[in-house]
Amino acid sequence: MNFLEIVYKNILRRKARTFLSLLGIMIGVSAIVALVGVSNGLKSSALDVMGSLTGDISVTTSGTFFTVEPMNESVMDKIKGIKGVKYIAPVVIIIDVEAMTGGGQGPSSFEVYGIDPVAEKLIGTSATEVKEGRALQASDRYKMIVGSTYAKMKDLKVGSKVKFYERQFEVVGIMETGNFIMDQMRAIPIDVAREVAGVDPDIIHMVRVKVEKPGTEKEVALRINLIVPDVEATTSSEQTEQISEFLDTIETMTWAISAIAAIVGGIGIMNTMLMSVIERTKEIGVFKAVGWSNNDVLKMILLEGFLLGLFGGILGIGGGKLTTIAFAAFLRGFQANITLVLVGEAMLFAVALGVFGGIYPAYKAASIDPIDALRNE
Amino acid sequence: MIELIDLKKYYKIGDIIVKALDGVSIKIEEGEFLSIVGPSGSGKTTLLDQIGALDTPTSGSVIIDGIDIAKIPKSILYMLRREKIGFVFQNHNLIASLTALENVLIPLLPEGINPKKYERALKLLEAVGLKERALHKPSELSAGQKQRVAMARALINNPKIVLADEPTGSVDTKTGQEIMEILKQLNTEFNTTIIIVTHDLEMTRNTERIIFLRDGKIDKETKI
Ligand SMILES: Nc1ncnc2c1ncn2[C@@H]1O[C@H](COP(=O)(O)OP(=O)(O)OP(=O)(O)O)[C@@H](O)[C@H]1O
Ligand SMILES: [Mg+2]
Repeated sequence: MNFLEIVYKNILRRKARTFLSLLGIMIGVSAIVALVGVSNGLKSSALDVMGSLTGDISVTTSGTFFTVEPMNESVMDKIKGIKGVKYIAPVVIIIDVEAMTGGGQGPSSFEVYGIDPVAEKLIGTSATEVKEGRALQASDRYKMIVGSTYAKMKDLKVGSKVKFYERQFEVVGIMETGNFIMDQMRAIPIDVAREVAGVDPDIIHMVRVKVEKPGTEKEVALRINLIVPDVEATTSSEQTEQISEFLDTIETMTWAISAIAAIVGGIGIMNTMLMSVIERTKEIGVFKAVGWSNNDVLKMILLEGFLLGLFGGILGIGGGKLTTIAFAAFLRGFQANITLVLVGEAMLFAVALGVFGGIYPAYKAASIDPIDALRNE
Repeated sequence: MIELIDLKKYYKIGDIIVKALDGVSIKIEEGEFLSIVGPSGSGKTTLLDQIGALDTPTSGSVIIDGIDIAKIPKSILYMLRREKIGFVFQNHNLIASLTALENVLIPLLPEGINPKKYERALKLLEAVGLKERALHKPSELSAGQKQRVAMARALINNPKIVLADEPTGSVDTKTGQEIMEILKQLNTEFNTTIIIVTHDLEMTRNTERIIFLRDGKIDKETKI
């Protein structure tokens, strides 16, 4: 028998109560782990998607970062003429209304990109990272390339036929980038896209730009903004920053909300431990009467808090992991990112809660007067 | 050696002052076997608590091996309890969730337990006739057995002074006599100072000196 063992026994002695206080910590820690893990996952996906999706610079109608507003193809000539621009590639974005109303799909599976295969090759985007089959070619008409996740979702192989906007498309290639947003993408030739969407043949939604010299993206974007009217050029690093700032804010809020949840858990621990100390007044009095010091008692109760925190933390991390798995099942292809650092932080947080929750009860226990405790029946 | 000098312990309850001990002076030599008797409420437990360094007096001195308990802070008194004193409480006060063996080991827990100490605890349980019950919880033991576990616990630290508050109070005469035998043996073999509180005059026959308490004062003293 040792100190830890008696503490362990003490905890096990009141199973229901221990379970409840563990639950408090567990919920708090689960929330932290799940929310931060998801936000980490979104961050890494969202961040590394930007470069490959938009090239060095993306140009859209001014003020339309999240919506799809059409532009006239003529802007392309203007952009092409700007100093420092190497290649450009147009994009037409079609919303797959059927997929949207069908529900249960990932975030980027609602959009289908109309791309120019030749320009795409020059600019070197993910539409050229084909794992099976081939990329789109200039001569292609009703051909489609799809991301590997989307292919898995719809059980598509190279050569499969898919119906889209009343037309039969043949899947000629499957892309795999490792990014869950990218891998749900679909792309078809740009003129076919305009045709099925029924828009004018000179409509585009976005122009992606590759600069001549890496490092000049900002400068070139500024030039585009100054020279070409009614468009907004954003560098991919700017977009990355915007998204990462947004996600940082979410993460901070996540921590704050979870911290509140966990502190409630901590108060729960304090409450249950205080009750158990009061219940054990006589027992603690006996410990002191037979030679335990105030510090020995303090240590025992704090250790109980520590153990509660530890177990609560372990359960919480497990719970958080399960939550993210459930979340990933809902959001296809998504990978939450529970880093070792996050696990460490969550564990530390849980243990700190247990110990802090234990301080007051431990102090109470240490100040029990053995004489009073023994006289009280 | 234990010396009590004009020891007073008063309790104040509202406006009433209860004089639990009202000027007690005794000298107890090392290796003495002493009994304290007196009616209920006469201050026996209070006296034992004072000698056992469980409490500090209102006035007067409790000097144990030259140390005046009244002069040291309550928070340090545990050292005396741990090192010099073995206490058998009026009701055994065993921890219900622990086995007999674990209960015996409780005083040693803060400093850590090694196999040697385990062995000693087992030996003590054997000495009080409970070797077979070492792994039983208090709820599985009879009143007399519990009292004997409490005695083993009091002895685990090799105390120089053993204080027993009505050790035979809740057991039959035969078990009571067995308990007294153990104490007597301890007294003769290790020269341990033993002070028992009892209201059973039969039990006092084993001891060398009887102190009669009444209303917190020494009524009379008899040497046997
Ligand atoms: N904490 C306390 N507060 C107030 N009065 C107390 C307290 N402890 C003891 N007393 C009083 O002191 C007196 C002596 O009590 P004590 O317990 O020493 O008696 P006792 O001789 O051991 O009695 P018994 O034989 O019934 O155990 C009693 O009148 C009791 O009510
Ligand atoms: Mg008493």
